[in-house]
Amino acid sequence: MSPMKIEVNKPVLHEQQQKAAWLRQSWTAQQTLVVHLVSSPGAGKTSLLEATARFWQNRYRMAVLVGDLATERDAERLSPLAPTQQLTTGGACHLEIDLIEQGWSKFPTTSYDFLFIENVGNLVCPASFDLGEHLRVAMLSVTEGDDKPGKYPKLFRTCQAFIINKADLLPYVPFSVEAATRDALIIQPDLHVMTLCAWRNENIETWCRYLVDQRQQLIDGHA
Amino acid sequence: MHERSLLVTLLKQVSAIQVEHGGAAVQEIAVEAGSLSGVEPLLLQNAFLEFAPRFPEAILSIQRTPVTARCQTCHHSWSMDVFLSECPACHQPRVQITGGDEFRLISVTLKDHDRGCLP
Repeated sequence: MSPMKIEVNKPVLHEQQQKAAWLRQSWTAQQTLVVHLVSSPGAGKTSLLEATARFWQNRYRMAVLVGDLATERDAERLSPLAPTQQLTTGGACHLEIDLIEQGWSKFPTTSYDFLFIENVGNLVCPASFDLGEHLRVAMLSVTEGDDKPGKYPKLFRTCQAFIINKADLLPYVPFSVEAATRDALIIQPDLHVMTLCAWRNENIETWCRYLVDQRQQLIDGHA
Repeated sequence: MHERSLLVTLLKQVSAIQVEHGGAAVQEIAVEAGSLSGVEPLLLQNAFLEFAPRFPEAILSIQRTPVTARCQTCHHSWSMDVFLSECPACHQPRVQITGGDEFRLISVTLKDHDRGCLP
């Protein structure tokens, strides 16, 4: 008997990618802009979401899926401000589409203007997993160094926006916003870059206006 | 990056193909790991050793493929083993990755496909 070669020629994560594409399509149809936040641990993702919810004060319906290896600490912070589901990975260092689908199914409604996905703190692995988002946002805090974009090219290449957080600490750290921006734009020239301080609510209006504009573009593009 | 968990996903697909074809033994699993895929061939091979008892006769063939890109400014196309963020022709940064960033299952070769049994 001779060997039989079966040709497949598909991405190994083909099924997951299809699921992400399907979810993105259904969110588009519902006019829900899905925003995926990626950063190192402690760069300020949760603080940014708190500031966003406080700024909008229910003018927009927002929901959050927040991923962590353990604890529900982030969900405890966010739940008073917006409907939130904690996704506990139990050891995995990034969220994947199956967990997103599970978390999304637990919301009592699907009528949100914005769904935020806060990934596990990690600049590496989240870059490789499509969670169905419309907008992927890289966050860096000024304490991390302005050379980071070049060191994580896959993340920055796959993002549409870049937030530099903890701007209140700029006088005290050797971080150049110009250098970090330049480094990031070399990798992804279309990045929208914003500098802010989430915990002091500084420049949150710029971020929120950007989100509203992005959602309007989604709605206009789908119409 | 996650070679073991990717391998688990890959081998589920290989097992499904085995079942579809009467449970014949797997002789070769051919995959392609692009230079920008985040998959390291050596780590993947090492992870595959763990699954050797399930696929005792199989070899894992890993083809490393270069990154291919196209300049969105001058439309020059090229391939590179290491990612460069500017076009080698016009030195503009508008580079679109056209390949080399995926981990793909290319083919599964079954041994003696007319008979066989699941391990």
